[in-house]
Amino acid sequence: MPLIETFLAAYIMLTSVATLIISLYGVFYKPHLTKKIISITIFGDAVNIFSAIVGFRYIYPVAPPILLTENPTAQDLTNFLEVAVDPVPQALVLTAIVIGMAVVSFMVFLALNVFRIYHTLDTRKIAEQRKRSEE
Amino acid sequence: MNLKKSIVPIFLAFVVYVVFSGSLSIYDISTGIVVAIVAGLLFSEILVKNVSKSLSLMRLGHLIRYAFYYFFVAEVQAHLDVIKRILNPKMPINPGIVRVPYEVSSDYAIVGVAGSIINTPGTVVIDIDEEKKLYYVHWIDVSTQEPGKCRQAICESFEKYLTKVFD
Amino acid sequence: MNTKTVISLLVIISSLLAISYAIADQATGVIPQTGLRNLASFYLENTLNPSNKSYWTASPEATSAIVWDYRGFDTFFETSVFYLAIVGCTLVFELYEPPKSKTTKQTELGLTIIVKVITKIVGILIVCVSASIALHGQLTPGGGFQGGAALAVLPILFIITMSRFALDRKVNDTSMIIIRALGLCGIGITVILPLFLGFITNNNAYIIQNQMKPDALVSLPSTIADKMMGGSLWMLNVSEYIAVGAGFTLAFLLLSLPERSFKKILEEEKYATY
Repeated sequence: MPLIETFLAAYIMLTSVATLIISLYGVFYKPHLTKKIISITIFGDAVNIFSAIVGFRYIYPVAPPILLTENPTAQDLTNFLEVAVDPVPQALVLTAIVIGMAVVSFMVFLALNVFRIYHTLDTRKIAEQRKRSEE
Repeated sequence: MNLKKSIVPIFLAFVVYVVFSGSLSIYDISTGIVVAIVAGLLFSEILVKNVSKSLSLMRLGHLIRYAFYYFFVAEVQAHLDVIKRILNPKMPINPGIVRVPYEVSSDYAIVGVAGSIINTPGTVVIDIDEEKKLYYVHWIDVSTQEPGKCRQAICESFEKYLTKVFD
Repeated sequence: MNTKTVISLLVIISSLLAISYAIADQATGVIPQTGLRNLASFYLENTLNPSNKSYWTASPEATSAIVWDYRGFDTFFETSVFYLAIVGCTLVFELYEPPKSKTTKQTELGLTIIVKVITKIVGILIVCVSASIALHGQLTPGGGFQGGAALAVLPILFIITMSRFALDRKVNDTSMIIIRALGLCGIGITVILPLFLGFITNNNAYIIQNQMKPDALVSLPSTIADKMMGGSLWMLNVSEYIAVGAGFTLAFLLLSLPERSFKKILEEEKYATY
């Protein structure tokens, strides 16, 4: 692989890892629950992009993992194996997106209920209110 | 559930399904029929209010005539007008929002006229008052503020055709 | 710095190190790869192989084949995660009496008539397009998850443009729970179906089996009309489409409940003292 493309591949990997770490930072250190939820969605998306890159093939021509004939011969299958990308990460990402959406909606429900009880989503203020009510 | 009511929605749904699937195999047509019947029955109540209107071929003919008029006469005129304004070095625009009364009564006709106004360049419907029967239209060249004359300039030709189609 | 901050910092740094080590040590292989991993080439070679049917799935779409056949058990449990998330949503927002609209006039609810009529027309198109995505999951990119997610756009559009109360007669919490349960039942039946077939024909059979394996000669139909069907892939896609669509509709219906109904309950239960 030429040098510039090695550099670009490393750059993409670095970016996705950096996104992962920044979203972890958001989950741990941002006091607002909405920002925590947003960080978790960013975390999920970063993982999905990372898996999509893992499945990519650096060749030309490259094709999606779908056979276009309904009665493939052995020759068709050999050609298919030469151009098709890795389908396993795609399958993982496919379900992860929808399940991630359901889990995020559950977190939103919980956050909404927290807001109804405490009238705020800031964890510092919630802790304060809890301390006051215990006294 | 009224089956007659859902004939037009079923047809619409079937055409969309087959066009989106992009093939005419037995599988696509049979699943298309099933999906179209389910979707059509679900949406028949909210899409169709008057059965005889929805099945009238004369109205369909008027709709096709209106489509020809709209795409080949009204649109061309409006585009030429805006092109002239753009190419003119003085840029003779006088934008503003005017009240435009309308006289059509059915939902689809109101929406059709509004859509026609929006899709022609130079005019955009930004709000509607159903009780006073008024569109609020942003117009590129406010030559008059009198509602009657505005109507004549902006939407009278559309209403003339769409009354025959939907009212 | 308190202990919590230190622990979070340690977690972040250790995960950074772990991911970096994994990539640098090529645990994921060279990125981007030029060849294929062994697992991928096995799936791609066998998904639609008429000459060697011992591991085939009768579906030209390798991704769908992995999702519902080769790794079908994973997806089965992912579906149960989805199911539990929606169950959690309904439990958190449990209301014995759903609120009624203050006005009965439809014109006072939601956006202007232009938006409403256009949304109605777009609604029927969304149903058709999402059904097409789900029903062609075994042939082209798409399937139950994607079709269901596309269908879930519909309730959002309707709730925003016409308000939740316009939906209440046909589309309410109870009917959505029933429809979602039907979809999940479809998945359950498809999963157990090979066992029944094996029992009748006196053969070995596995759970979530699709086409015949060397030691289990039970297989679900491989074609439907004139297209490849992929046996259980088609049935599972349709069931998942219904389950995901209805589940998300339920979640959005609950999210759009007006605040006033909860205020009343919270005041009654004296949560509001905090």
